[in-house]
Amino acid sequence: MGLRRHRPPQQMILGDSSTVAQALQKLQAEGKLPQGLSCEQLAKLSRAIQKYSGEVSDRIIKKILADWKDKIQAAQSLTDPAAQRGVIYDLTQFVGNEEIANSIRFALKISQEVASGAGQYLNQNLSPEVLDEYPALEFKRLFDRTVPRGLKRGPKGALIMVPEDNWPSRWAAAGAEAGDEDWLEWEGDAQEGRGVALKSSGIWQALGNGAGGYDDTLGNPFPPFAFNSGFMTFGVHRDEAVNLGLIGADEVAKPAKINFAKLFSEVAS
Amino acid sequence: MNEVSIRIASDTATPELQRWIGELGVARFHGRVNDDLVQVTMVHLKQLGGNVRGYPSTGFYEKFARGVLCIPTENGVAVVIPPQIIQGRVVGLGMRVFGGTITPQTVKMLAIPISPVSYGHVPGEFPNLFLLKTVKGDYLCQRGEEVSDKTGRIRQVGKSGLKGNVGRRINSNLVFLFKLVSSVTQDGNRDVLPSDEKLLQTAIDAVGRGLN
Repeated sequence: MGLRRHRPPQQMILGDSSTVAQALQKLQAEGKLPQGLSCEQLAKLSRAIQKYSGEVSDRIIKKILADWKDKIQAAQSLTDPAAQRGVIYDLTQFVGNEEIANSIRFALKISQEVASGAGQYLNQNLSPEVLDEYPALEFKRLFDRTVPRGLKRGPKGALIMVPEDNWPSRWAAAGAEAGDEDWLEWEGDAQEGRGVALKSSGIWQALGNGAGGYDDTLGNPFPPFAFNSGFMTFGVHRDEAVNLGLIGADEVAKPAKINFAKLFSEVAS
Repeated sequence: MNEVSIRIASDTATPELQRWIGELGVARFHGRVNDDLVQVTMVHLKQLGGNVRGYPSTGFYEKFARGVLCIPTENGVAVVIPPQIIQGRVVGLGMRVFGGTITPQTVKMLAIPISPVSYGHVPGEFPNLFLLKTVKGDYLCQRGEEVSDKTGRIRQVGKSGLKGNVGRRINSNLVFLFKLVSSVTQDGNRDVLPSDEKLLQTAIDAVGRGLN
């Protein structure tokens, strides 16, 4: 029943329209912009959000919209059709009505999770009594995911192991960059196991920074360390931390080195 | 009613807990129970999971679980579940716990999703919606087919390039996505929160562990 849709080359679209914005509108009206965000686009967006650790969502949304408007304005000033086509191509990879909506929805979700995580991070670190009773944290899965990190979809929807991407691998890489010995090797398997470290360990920031070359992380020293992560941190009581050899029975627990400026304000533009 | 607080304080706690709060002081008591109470509440919210109709999960309770805090109060501690922004609105768990009537604030009618496709979405996310009035009520619907501007022939919406939920709409000629209502009355459900007994036992265990 459906008609085969004619898809003219982009040169023709540009030729019909005087501005890039009009060309984009035409593309949108004809439904020729891609729908949804690819994994690569999601990673781009997550990298953009890294700059806003702890920042509230509306600023992130404004930034995305401003970037989009800037790109269109920049493209409008171009006179070279080839350059214009290049910009249009870039824009169609990232924007469009549905894309912007998805971007905003995604940014809102991530920034809310980051804001919630920041609240828990402070709750875990600011009170001397809480710190004394729970000097360490365990990092383990709380929320289920259809395709957890460390797995990917293969042929016919089968899940395939990607060990280098799972949390134990990331944990080991972060530990290597932590600059301290206040963390323990991963216990158990990739999905049900856990990593334990003192709250003051540098492993948390390294984990959020994507130590080991992971580019899907969000830059926080608290969960979510990477977008759509179902792993969370929970307090480890002093008795257990002592038994694990992380801290002495009478040793004073140290808090994380909280960068308040980074936690509550824009880090970079 | 946006923020829900569960108070573990001397007026509701067991005598044993009251004695410990008195002996330890609120700050030390808070330190001892903080992380355990947060974890118990997070795990409880996570386990609430899906919706009654079996629609795809929107992660509603996960949003709240991520924000759980435990703060000291004058006489004890309070587990706080802060509100979250959902579909652009500030939403708290209070309505789920205590129940109540929801009325539209900025629009005339509430749009209630009645399809797995529209669940977790708002009407603005669906193009070309139209209002269908029936004896059973008013609905926002979407056509599964449309007339091509170029040829005048009927074509299926979403035939080219649309995937996922949008693509599913081509299977039906008329899709009922939302029902419009003037208000919704929701029953309260105390089970959304961990039981008082569970929280008290968690607090007692945490305090007792520190005294061993």
